[in-house]
This record gives sequence, C-alpha cells and structure tokens, in this order.
Amino acid sequence: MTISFDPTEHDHVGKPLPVRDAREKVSGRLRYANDLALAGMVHGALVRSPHAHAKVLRVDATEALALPGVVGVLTHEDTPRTVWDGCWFNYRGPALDGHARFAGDEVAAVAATTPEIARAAAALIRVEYEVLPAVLTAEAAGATGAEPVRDEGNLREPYVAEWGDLAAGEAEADHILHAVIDHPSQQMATIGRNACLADWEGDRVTVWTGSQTPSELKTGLAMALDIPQSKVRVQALPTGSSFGQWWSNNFMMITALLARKIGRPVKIELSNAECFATVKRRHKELSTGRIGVTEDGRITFLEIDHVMDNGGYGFKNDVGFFCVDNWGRAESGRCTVRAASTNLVTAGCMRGVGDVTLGNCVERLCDMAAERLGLDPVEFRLSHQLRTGEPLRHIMGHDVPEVAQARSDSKAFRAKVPADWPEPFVLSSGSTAEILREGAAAFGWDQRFVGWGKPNHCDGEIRRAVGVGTGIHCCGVELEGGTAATVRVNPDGSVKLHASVGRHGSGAETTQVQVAAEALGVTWDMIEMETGDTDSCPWSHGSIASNTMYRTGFATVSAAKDAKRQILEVAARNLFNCDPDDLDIRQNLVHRRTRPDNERYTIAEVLNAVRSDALGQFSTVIGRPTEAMPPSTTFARHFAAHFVEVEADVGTGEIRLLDYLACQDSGTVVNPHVLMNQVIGGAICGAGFALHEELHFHPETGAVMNDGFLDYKVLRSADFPARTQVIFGNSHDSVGPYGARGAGEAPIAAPVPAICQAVFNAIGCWVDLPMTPERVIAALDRLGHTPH
Amino acid sequence: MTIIARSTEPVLQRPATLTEALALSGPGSVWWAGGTDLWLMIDRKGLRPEALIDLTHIAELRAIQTTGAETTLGAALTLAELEASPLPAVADTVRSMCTVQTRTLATLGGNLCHAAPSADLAPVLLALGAEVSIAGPAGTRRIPLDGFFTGPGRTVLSAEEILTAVHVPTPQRQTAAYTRIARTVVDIALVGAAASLTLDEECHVLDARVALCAVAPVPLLVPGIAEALKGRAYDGLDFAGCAKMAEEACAPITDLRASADYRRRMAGVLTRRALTTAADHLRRMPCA
Ligand SMILES: Cc1cc2nc3c(=O)[nH]c(=O)nc-3n(C[C@H](O)[C@H](O)[C@H](O)COP(=O)(O)OP(=O)(O)OC[C@H]3O[C@@H](n4cnc5c(N)ncnc54)[C@H](O)[C@@H]3O)c2cc1C
Repeated sequence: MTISFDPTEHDHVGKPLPVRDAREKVSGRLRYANDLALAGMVHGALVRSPHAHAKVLRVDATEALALPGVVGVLTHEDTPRTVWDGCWFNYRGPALDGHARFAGDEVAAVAATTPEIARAAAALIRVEYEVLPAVLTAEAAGATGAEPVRDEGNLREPYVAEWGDLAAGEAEADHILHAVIDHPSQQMATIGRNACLADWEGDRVTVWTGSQTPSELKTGLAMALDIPQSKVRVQALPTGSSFGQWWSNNFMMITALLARKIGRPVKIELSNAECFATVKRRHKELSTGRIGVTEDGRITFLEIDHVMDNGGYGFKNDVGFFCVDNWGRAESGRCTVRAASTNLVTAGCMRGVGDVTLGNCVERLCDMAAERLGLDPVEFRLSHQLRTGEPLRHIMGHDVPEVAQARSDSKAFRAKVPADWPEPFVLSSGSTAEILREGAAAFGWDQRFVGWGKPNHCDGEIRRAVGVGTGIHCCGVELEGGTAATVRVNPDGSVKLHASVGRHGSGAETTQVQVAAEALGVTWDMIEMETGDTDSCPWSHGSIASNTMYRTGFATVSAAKDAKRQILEVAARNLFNCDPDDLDIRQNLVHRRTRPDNERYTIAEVLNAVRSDALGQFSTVIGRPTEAMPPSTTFARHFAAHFVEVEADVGTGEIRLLDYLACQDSGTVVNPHVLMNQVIGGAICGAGFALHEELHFHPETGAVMNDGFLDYKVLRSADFPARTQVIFGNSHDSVGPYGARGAGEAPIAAPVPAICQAVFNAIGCWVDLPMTPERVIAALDRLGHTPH
Repeated sequence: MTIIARSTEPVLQRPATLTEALALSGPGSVWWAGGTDLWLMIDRKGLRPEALIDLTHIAELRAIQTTGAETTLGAALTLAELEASPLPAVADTVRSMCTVQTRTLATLGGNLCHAAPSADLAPVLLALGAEVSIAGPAGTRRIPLDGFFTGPGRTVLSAEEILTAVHVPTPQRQTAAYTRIARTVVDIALVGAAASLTLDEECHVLDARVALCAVAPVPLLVPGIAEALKGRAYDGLDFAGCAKMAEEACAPITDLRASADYRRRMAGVLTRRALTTAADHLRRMPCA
C-alpha cells in the first residue's frame, strides 16, 4: 500500500502531542463533578425500589421530613409525566412515575444539609408497593401473557439486515456449522463515581455533571423538566472513564427536579455500588448463528439471530452490528436482532456495542468453518473480509425512508453530496487486509500457529497457543442530526474551539485542537477547547459511536476553515490589497502564498486593522461549519486485528495472556499517543469481557449482586502482557479530517474472538463466556479427556 | 445501600507500648493496624467504633527475631516488610497478595485477626506449624495457630486481647510453598493451599503438613498428611493420596467467585502442586 499521508506536510496532524489535561490528571487537580460545591447547596439521596417490578401505592415521608437537616422530598407526584429520551433510545421513560422497573430503580429523592443526613432520611421514607410479576430474561419478556415492563409492551420490532439469496446459499453449502453464544452483561465499571449538581435561577437551570454527551443531556433535561431547551444549560465535566455509562442518566433528571422543588442547589453523588447497579450496563445478548461454506472455502451464507435485553428503560431495537460488513463477502446473509424489555437495570450502548457480542458470534462461526476446512484463520479472514470499494451491509436506519430511497437511487444521493465524496454504501477506505498481513508478519503468526486446536507448547499441565480476531465499528451515526463546532478567534489571535464532545478520557480535546490548529494555521498552544458548556457549544452527538474524529473533527475543520477564510478576507482587504485566495496562515502569521517571508502579520494585527471605533472594540471572528456532514454509516468504518498468545492451565482452568499485538486501521493517525491509548484500553477491556467480566443478577429480584470491584473483576495493567505492541494501518479517507476515521470501538471487539480462538487452540474446545477457570474446567470435562 | 448518619468520628489513639495499648482498650474501641480491612468494615459494613487504637507504633510488635529454633514475626509487621522476611515461603506468599499500596499498609496481625476464610497468610503459617502470642488484661499466652480461627471473621481473641507475635519453627531440612487460584492479579484467593515438608537426616520425610484457605469457614490443616508421608524417601513421592485427603477435608461453599465443586477439586490440585513445589525446593537443599 502506498503512503497516502505524509506527516511532514503537517504541523500538528500526526504528531504525538501531549494529552491536554494530562498534568491536571496525574497531579489530582482535574475537577470532576464530585469536587464541585455551590453556596447554599444541599445534598440529595435516592430512594430505590427493592423489588424488580412494582407499582408505588404510597410514599410516606413524614419521618424523613422530621429529621433535623432534611430540606425536602421529591416523589412521582411532583414529577412531570413527560417521557425523556436518551440518545438512540439508550433510555426512554419518565424521571419518576411511580412504577419501579428494576430493583434499584429510583422511586423518590430527598434533600438534606449533609449527604449523611440525606441517606439516613432516604432510609426513613416508607414506600408502600404493589409487587408485580418480574420479567428477568428476554425469553420471559416474550412469553405469552408476560407482565408488561413498559406501556409500549416488552418486545421491539426486530431489526433485520439481509443480502444475497439465503436459500441458494444454503443449498450450495457443503458444510453448515452452528453456534450459540450466551454473552453475559458487561458493566462499564467506571473507576470514578459520578455526581450531578443542579442550580435554578428563576425558571432556568444549570446542571454540572460528568457526561460524554452534553448536548444530548440538555435535550433530555428539557424533556424531563418540560421546559424549552433555551432554559437548560449543561456544564459537562470530565467523567473519568465512561465507556458509555455517563451519557444522560436518570439521576441527573432527578437532581434537577429536586432542586426545582426545594428551591436550592442540590448535589447528588452516587456511591460505587449505585454506579455498578443502577445506571447502565451492556445488554445481555444471546447469539445463535449458522454459516455455510463450500469445500473450496467460499462462504455461501451467514445467518444470525441475536436476542438482547434492554433492561427497564433501554428502548433500542438493534445493536450496531457492523461485523456483518466486515464479513460482507459472505455471498448471502441475514442478521436479525430482537430486543426485549426486562426488569433488570437499564442496558444500553457500552463501548463497541454489538460488535463485541454479535461480532464475536460472526467471528466464531467463521472460525468454526475455517477449522472444518483446515484453513488458516488469518488467510480465511484475508479472503473473506471487506475491502475498500465493496458494499456495506449494515446501514443504520436502512428502514428510514430517506436512507432507503438513497440506497435504491444512488444517483439522486450523489447529486446531494459533494462531488469528491466516495460512492455511498460502499466502504470508503481502509480494511483489515493491511493490518492482518502486517500483524501476522510482526507476530510471527506462521511459526506460532501450528493448526486448529493444537497448542504450540506443552509442559505438564500448561498449554500455549495463539489466536487472531478482527473487529470493526462505525465512525459515527448520522441519524440524530448534524454535529457542529464553532471556532472563535479572539482579537489577540488566540482561539477557542467549542464542540460539545465531553471529556471521558479519550483524548478528544487534544486531537480536536490538533485538526483545528492544522486547518487554521495557528500553533496548537494558541487554541483552547470548550467541550462541555451547552450555552457556548453548538449541538453535537458528543463522544459516542466512534464519531469524534470523523464527524466532530469534520465540523471542527470546517469551522476552522471558515474562520480562516474570514481572517484572510479582512487581511486581503485591509492589509495586502489582494485576493484572499492568494493568502495563507501558518504558524499564526498571515502571509502571501507566493512570498511567505516577505510581508507577514499576526492574526491580532489583522483583526486590529478593523477596529470599529475609537474606543478600541476589536473584532472577534466566529467560524462555523459550512460544509454538509458526511453520512458516516454510509461510507466509513474503522478496523482492528488483534493477535494473542495465551497459556492455559488444564489443571486449574486458569488462562493467562502472554503476548499481545493490536493492529488498528483508523485512517490517518492524528495523534499516535492518543490512538495507542484507545487501542490498548480497548484490548484490555475486551480481554476482561472474554475472561472475567460478568454481572450477576439475583435470581428473584434481578438486583446486581456483584456491585463493586471485589467481585466484578476488571483486568488491570498487571493482568495484561507488558510487551503489548500496537501497529497502525496506513489508509487515508477522502472525507474524514486529514484522512482520519473513527478509533475507539473496533479495538474492544477484536480481543474477544482472538482470545476465544487462542483458548480453543490451547485446549481443543470452545469455552463459554467469560472464560473463568471454572468454565474452562467444565469445558475440559465435556471434552472428556486431557487434551494432547 | 442505606447508611445511617455517623454521629461522631472515632478518636484515633497511638500508644507506644503494649501496656499503654492494653490500658486504652475499652467498650467501643477496636485495634487498628493497617486499616485495610477495618476501614471497609466502617465504610461498608456499618461498624461504628468509638476509638481506634493504632498498634503500628509499638516497637515490639514490629520486630523480626530469629533464634536457633524459631523465627518470631511481630504482629504489626506490614506485608511489604514481610517480603524481606527470612522465611522464603512467607515472603513468596505476601508477594502474591493485594497491591503495592495495600501491602504497604496491611499487617500480618490484621490478616490473621480479620479471620477471612480466604486470608493467604493463614495456610502458609499453619503449614509451617506456627504458634501465636496473645497479650491481654489477664497476661499473655502462647497457643498454636491451629485452633486460633473459630469462624468467618472470628478468632479466640477477646475484644481486649492483642495478637502480638507469630512464632514459626525453623527446623533444618524444611521447605514450604503456597499456591493459590485467583481471578486477576489483584484478588482474594478462590482456593489456596500451602504445604511443608521436613526431612530427617536420611532424607526421609519426618514431618509434612498441608493447609487450605477459602474452602471452609476457617483456614484449616488437612489431617493425616504427616502420617501418609512419614518415613518415605522424599524423591519420587506420590501426592495423589494427599490431594484426595485435602478434597475430603474441605467444606467449601458456592458463591459468586466459584462453586463448591470447583473449590473442592482445586483443593486437591493445589495440594498436589504445593507439595510438589516444596519437594522441588528440597531438591535444591543439601541433604545431610
Ligand atoms: C485492595 C485489597 C486487596 C487485598 N488483597 C488481599 C489478598 O490478596 N489476600 C489477603 O489475604 N487479603 C487481602 N486483602 C485484605 C487485607 O489487606 C489483609 O487482610 C490485611 O493483611 C489486613 O491487615 P490490616 O493491618 O490492614 O488489618 P486492619 O484492617 O487494621 O485490621 C483487621 C482486623 O484485625 C484486627 N487487628 C489487627 N491487628 C490486630 C492485632 N495485632 N491484634 C488483635 N486484633 C488485630 C482489627 O481490629 C480488625 O478487626 C486485601 C485488601 C484490599 C483492600
């Protein structure tokens, strides 16, 4: 592959610039919502249902209100009946409606002068319940006569993606293989605990909280509070880690409602157990699939039936299964996703949604087929995975009329988008091909893979083997509106970039500034970024769906170019007396393109040249995106190929990770440090899901039983090979900023199939997830003999 | 998830001698060592002590003494300090425990007195045949560690008594090893097993012990191991019988961490491995 991106041409893009808030983070000075306080502020605590499913008959707060220090109580009777929606139906429901839909669901809130008094008062609130039958599994939710968890019923409309002639594919197959994989529910397990602080001034509210979706939160608050969006200001603060946990959460709505009711600023801080058990989690997902292959290695069909549970307030009808794109060379296919409401804590989009689970099932089926045919797993992927220019199968919103129409009439679609954009509904750039080849060579795959189900090293009860897995995800989803950014150039030439991407540790505030600096021609220390204030940032999706570089970055670059054009127009008119197109900005200096060293002005000098009056009112330039947003699921994906060596102890069932190589194709690497961090973080989190992570729900109440780090085991860096290597692919996207696409989610999808395959090769059988020592032993027992 | 408002913060007292410490003890006071277990009892389990009596500034609780026959470890030695202890099996065990930060605070006495069924130091010290010294208002006593634990979180200590030291006999030609299964690097044991082997001058087994943790309400010594191995040549010992005895000795529970069946089976596997490692260490020892 030719090098299409030359970092030496750029001042900022491609450079390992330091993460902007690194110093504050490591010195403990970064301020989280938990650290904030306001004069006159009181503390809130939540009353939670002990039942999986119940109607609230009566709330008696007499005793609580009598406790000295208690300021007020909020119940469903004080709460507007309006339903608020979280982005992509990650949440849908009223803030409080007297209907508890999971054990731990909020039923009331109390405010007091100290957090301790508030919690003591919460325990004194007597709630009388009518207990309803609990629906604890997706299967039970779909049974006839099942108790409705929600008014809309328990089942969402199935989401189906299909291509080719499935019946013909089945008829042609020489081998058909089946897999059923039960994916447990993963918890984001954020290290930080979130808090929310709400303050009303008249009928306007300001809310401080950790969120990766400030704009969505503003929208949600306006719905829950039943007020116009103009009266809501969100000041999103760093979340610590988030992984999808801290978008807009119901406790934030309750904080604002409680503050309105009592007329004082209120702060609610969640405990670690509340973060684990009452906010959000990955869906429990059951994947059933079939694959057909011919003797000569063609995939004639791929069929998946995927059932997911939404918990109490999730309302999704799909998970983002871009994995069917990755294996899109399968000649025919059908992927059906069915979603059900249950009386478990709300489920929603956790990092890599769908591609971690459903993707694992697709990879498993392909591995089973390759094993049956005796084909090398790297080679099998190279021959069947998507390439640039090939059709995409999973178009988000393919059932939305506009999208469906665009698909059937691509000429009409083309007429609407810029001429230099790629063909729609085919992959615009990149693939797993290059990273698989390079990764296999760097890992020594040909020497270390010695055949399916065969360890490359045996010593007593120890077996070692390697595995490979691939992952894919989108680069943002266009369906909810156009992400925007503004670039304000101050009279002194300093710049403020506003884009509501939040700060959840992905490094977005660093890479957005890099592309803005590049587009504007200023040095990056001249730019500061506001990521969380919805009063200054235009609407944006936030940092979700791996969209931040591809979509927000596109808006940022477009806004920076717009600001640059305005500066050059002023300079051309007032200082150079030339055509603005003859001018450029680099290193903060405006100059002629042809003679850059001759006549140069700082941006401050240019802006001061239009001093509007004698009092010294200098001008501010405001740049905003002038180009149309790319419909991202129509073009772009990002890719991961991970290689792992594991050691299995067939005596105890323990699996250790010995060596790891993570390869990533995100198009242009805007900042190698930031991308490396995304890739390794994803690998560790995916490996945790493969080996240990699993929420346990109480068999009767559905309450989360392992609501803390003692019994919810995440991997730490010491659990992961110290020698982990990262390799970046070299593709370039014609739409994404400077050729970049998305980054954060493919790296969590690839580890699961890679580690499953390595364990299979070590011990000769597939193991249920998570592959705890006990499950490994159970699988060996089923195998009936000590392998090899 | 309900927490009752704390009326008063406990006072922290810091005696410099054992006598002072014993004199400070009273209703509502608790001994505070590293606080790594105790703080969780206060923060999560509703323990509301009135006074915390810090034992870590008492010099005699922080000493290591070696005489010909035994090594005495002060109860307030931290796990980090034990990493350099003259007992290799104890040093190896503490390195597998907790995190660097926790090891820096946590103490030997705290690990034993908290009496978690999974406490890692219990099996290795039981296998080494340790005894403990206890000081209280009525004077001091010395008892075998076997018998110290009476249930999960319970020991023979009364509230006014302090565990002052652990005495580990150091016979010649003895080796020991501890092995455990945990989910991740930082985790408590799902199952742990320690073994010791002592040879006589003819290189025959003179004594042998196996102790287990996390497979019964208390850490336990497996009965009958010494009898099974005594008098045998140490080279080429078969430990399958001992593994079986370990499986039979334990009474594990099923919880979120592991099932009773798995724990029982692993008690056998780990017993075999701990004994094998101890025998391997013997091989590296010059035999008389
Ligand atoms: C992150 C983490 C990881 C951990 N990992 C492990 C692990 O891998 N293995 C393991 O076994 N444990 C582990 N623990 C548990 C804990 O660290 C140990 O049990 C530790 O040794 C306790 O010692 P401490 O000095 O902190 O005890 P403290 O918390 O100070 O005391 C514990 C109890 O013992 C009493 N006590 C303490 N000293 C004396 C004394 N001399 N006489 C009488 N009573 C006394 C106290 O009153 C209290 O009731 C872990 C804990 C944490 C927080």
